[in-house]
Amino acid sequence: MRKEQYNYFSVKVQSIAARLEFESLTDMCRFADANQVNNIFILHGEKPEDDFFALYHNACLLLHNTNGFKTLENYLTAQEKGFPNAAVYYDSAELGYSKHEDYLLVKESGISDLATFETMRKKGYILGYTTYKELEATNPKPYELETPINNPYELYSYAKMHNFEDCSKLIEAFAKGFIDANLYTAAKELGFPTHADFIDAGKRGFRTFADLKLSNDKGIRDSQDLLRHIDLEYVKKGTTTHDQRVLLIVLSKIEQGKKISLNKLGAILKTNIENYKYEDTAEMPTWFTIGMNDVDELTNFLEKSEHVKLYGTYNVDGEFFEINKMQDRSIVLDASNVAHNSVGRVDKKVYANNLVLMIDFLKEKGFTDIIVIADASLRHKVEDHPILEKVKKMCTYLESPRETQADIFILQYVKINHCLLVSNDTFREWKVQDPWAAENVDFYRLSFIIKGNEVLMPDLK
Amino acid sequence: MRCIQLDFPVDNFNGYEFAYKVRAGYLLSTMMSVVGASTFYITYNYIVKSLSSLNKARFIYGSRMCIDEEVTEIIESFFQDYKEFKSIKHPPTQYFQTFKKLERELENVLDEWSDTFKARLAYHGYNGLFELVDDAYFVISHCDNLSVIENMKNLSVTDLLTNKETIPGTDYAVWMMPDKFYNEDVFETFMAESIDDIEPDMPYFIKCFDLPNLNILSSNELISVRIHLGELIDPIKNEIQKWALSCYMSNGNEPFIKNVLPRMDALQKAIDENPIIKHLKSIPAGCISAPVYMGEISPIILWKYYFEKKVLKEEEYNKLVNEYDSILNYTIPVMLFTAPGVGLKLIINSNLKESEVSEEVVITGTKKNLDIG
Repeated sequence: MRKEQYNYFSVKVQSIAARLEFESLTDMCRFADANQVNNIFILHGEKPEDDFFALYHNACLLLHNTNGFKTLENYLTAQEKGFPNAAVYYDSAELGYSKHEDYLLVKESGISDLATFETMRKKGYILGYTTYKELEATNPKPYELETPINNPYELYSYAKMHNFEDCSKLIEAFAKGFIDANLYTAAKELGFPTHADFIDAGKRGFRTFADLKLSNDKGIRDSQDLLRHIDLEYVKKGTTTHDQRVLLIVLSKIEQGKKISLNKLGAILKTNIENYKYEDTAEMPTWFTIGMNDVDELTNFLEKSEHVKLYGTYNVDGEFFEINKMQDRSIVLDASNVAHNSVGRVDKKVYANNLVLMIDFLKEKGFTDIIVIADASLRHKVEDHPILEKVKKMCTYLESPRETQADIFILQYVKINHCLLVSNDTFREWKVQDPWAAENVDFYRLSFIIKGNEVLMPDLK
Repeated sequence: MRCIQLDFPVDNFNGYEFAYKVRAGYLLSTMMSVVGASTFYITYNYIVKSLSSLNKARFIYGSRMCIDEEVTEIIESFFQDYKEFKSIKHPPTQYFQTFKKLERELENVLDEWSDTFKARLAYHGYNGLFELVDDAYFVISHCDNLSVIENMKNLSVTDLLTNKETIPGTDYAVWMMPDKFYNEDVFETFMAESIDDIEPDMPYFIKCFDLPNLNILSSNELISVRIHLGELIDPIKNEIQKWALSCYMSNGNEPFIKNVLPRMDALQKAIDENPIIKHLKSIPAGCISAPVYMGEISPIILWKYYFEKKVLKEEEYNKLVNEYDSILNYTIPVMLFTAPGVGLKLIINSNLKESEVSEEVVITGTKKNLDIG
């Protein structure tokens, strides 16, 4: 509101020699300012629309209809703020809006109170509506709304309903295709840059954007395909192609001591590779690489690979592959499980001596590469703590970090090395989450009984 | 719809199903009250991070949620030493140094146990739940009989089990129970498992809907699902609450069959169409589907269960049973969460501890090779 610069006096005209009428109130104000006239008369007519502003100058009464304005300052303010007439100006003032555009917005959208309007302004919806309109005009539009948004108040209402903090957050989410703040926050937490990526990941079974991106980069179709890819990545040491890795897995599962002809091995390998074909298209995944295209390449790999030798030896002259004895393989002990498993004991306590018995038993059977994997807490649980120190000297002893269960490391070790595992734990809870564990862990697992000082293990012949 | 979960520590800390029910309650209810072990598990990370070794030991020991015998023994031994140390007015330097060494050892043990425990809490689905706690719709409390923690309000177990309001929202609530609740030690009468079998005064459980693996959702995801579902299922929650009220007044057979069951398809649809749930169900770890049953039981069954689980003391249980005939008949509304792929199955011999029923070692040879003919 302008500061009042004029003094107002209500008068009645008795008689006047000369009277002039201004063409506009603007001219009247300019004349008053130019001639430093501060006193303004108000001539009241029978009706308000017959009221006039007047000023007296050089024996002349100069006047103009008030046009509904109470003061010239009000008129000037109305002009400045874009109000078309006095009625609108005063209505707006009563509602508390100083600008005509704000008043129009409130009237059009039905905002009922000034507080809401101020909140909208503070949270950027008045100005931000322009940005929203620009976004809406983009082609293709990144988001879809069921009901269009036609003004800032509707934008504000939508944002409030869908938990957006302010307009900038809404615009940010809309630009990425998200129309709900909580969904946007949750998807952002999972790394998704756009809604389209989030939907795509959902269709293909990927939880995070990292998995989606990896899969897109590698040409992986969906989550099942990704799991198969990852399982082969575990055995990539010493190999360059996926068929070589499949071959290593095949060799790890053939019965000890067996001799297999090269042709037979090639046929088994071919069958196992074909298991990787997609069921619906009968095509191999594009990420699956083949390096052994013929018998010569297969033979070369069998002869030269150090990792193949972990499982057996290829006889060049006889053209057969002889599988190593089980004892030539690595073997992992689930330390917690072995230490807990004492048949016949009433106390059900935990004994490191079980590990000593097991290691001695395995060494007697011919195993040389024995790895013990334990929880960090095992040393606090065992009754015979000094014997645990002895175990550490007998073989490779690995302790899982405090915040991680040893089971994860044990399973990962077996996955990478396709080695044997001594444990009576069936890893049931891991089988639910990990298809590899469900299919393979029992294959490599050796169960046992420790009774007194005796170890029984029927899987070892 | 008000929901309540009263849980307790179990052998080998298999908190997976407890966290699952807490999450389900958070998503589906208007107000979820968690009492007991889960409160300890939800608040553990938040409380212990600023505690000294001694206070951490006091907290873990006093809460009675630490079910690791070896660590409990170490803490008890330390308390004994601490008591002796404090009894000496001017301990000699050597004694002081020895005690400090013991304190450091305790700290190491507690830190190690704590780190492993935190990992297990995360694994079992307790991560992120503390951020959701809110006085209005997700309230956590401790209770007497299970824990003695200084400066913490403990609700009365007896009051909870007799539908007395201990804090707002704990009365007239639907009880969230695990599948192990449905066992022959507690359910001695015939149980209706289909609508046609339901009769007055007969407990029943009817399959209502399925839920995916909620335990892998983050707190932001849970918030998103809850807000989204809230708008859609408010009418269904209202009907379930009306049914619950009927149960506590006398019984809720009729409102359950007429007003709750017919709405379960709509509830399932709302759950399945939520974008976060859809995303969750698309991944292997998320699509595991757990059937949820709803029904009514006699209060005696509930009391017996908690008595068997040592949440209710013997004298309290006996008092409740003895006074049962003098109170007006009412039933308890229950939401029973069953194992994926299993469904409703009466458990036999549930008194055996989990470690005792864990797989018997059967010595058989297993074929450790591919058949290559």
